[in-house]
Amino acid sequence: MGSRRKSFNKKTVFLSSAIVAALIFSVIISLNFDFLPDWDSIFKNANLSVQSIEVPDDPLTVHFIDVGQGDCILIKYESCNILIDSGEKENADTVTDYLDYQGIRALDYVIATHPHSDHIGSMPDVFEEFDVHNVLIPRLTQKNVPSTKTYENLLACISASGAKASYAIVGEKYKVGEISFEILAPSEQYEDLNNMSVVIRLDFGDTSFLLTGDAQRESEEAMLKIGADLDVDVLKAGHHGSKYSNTPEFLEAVSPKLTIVSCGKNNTYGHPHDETLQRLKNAGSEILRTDLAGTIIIGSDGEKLCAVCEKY
Amino acid sequence: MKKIIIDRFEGDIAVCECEDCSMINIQKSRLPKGVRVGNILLIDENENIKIDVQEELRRKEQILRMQQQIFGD
Repeated sequence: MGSRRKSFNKKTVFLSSAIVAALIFSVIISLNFDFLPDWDSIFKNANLSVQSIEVPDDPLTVHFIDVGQGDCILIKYESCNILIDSGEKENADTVTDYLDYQGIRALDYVIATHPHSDHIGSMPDVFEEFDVHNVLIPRLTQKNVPSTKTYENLLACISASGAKASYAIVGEKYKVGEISFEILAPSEQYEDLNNMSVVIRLDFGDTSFLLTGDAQRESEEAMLKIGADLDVDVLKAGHHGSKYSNTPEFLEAVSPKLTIVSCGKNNTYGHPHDETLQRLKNAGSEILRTDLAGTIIIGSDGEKLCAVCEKY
Repeated sequence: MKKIIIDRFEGDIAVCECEDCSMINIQKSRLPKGVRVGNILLIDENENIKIDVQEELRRKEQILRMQQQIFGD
């Protein structure tokens, strides 16, 4: 009951702030200023985005946190917290504030799908603020190891944290209570780091998720080739909805009911590509996008799924 | 002299890491032909670009060693 009241109070604060913001906004419009803040920046500056979303009351929730152009996924099950990727460094506060607001102190698993800045940029802040127990990364070699400080910083954090550090090995299955997650990729070494993305299948009862990082055609083909169990309810589109990922053959095997695209509003790269959106429609999947819906939370009771979005 | 590292390519755009770990987008056409992910680019005041191959190799070796030590290869 306490938390309900708290949420009501926050809503009141949120509503009155929104009204004040709307008044200021309309005054600015009437003055015809050139520079106008949009609703996103008003929400962000007022730090309201985190509070305005209500978490479903399900044993398992999967949170696709809006970190602009990047990926950041939180899996919450009972007292177990799993973080997959962390978005760009510039979004560090968004991520740590979100985890804080979810009451998280420790992360049982941190999975860095692959070492690009839009996936691991904020990891130093995550390691600094939260107690990390286990880390999973893809095994990189001389052929594909990055030279960036971003990756060096991630390694330094893992080392300093004392977390158990393991490579993600295809076929390995991790169980926590009634949920389990399995590593489906990468089964080969690739020069392109997107294809080195750790791909996770998450199962809870009859419900399932496929979280593919930035895996592209080559990795998707490898998953099909090894006969990975790809058929799930919810897919996180590969590589922010790029046309070089999410191939028709792969989508046919996955046959998602719902696909989440994690991407930034008006991003420079044109993600998600129109081709991908069309393929998803052809595959019969509903689509939710973080650039349009903000943070998206999927709740599962083991039988049914529900989706909650920050913006409607 | 500015030093940037190519983190990845997104289509025609090279996404580069600056020394403070902030990221910038550069059109691939503005970079020397044949640049690759991981290249370290030294840019002088006149926008002349040099690829520092030695530094790239040194960093990659050091970072791979670090990864292998932590993950017990």
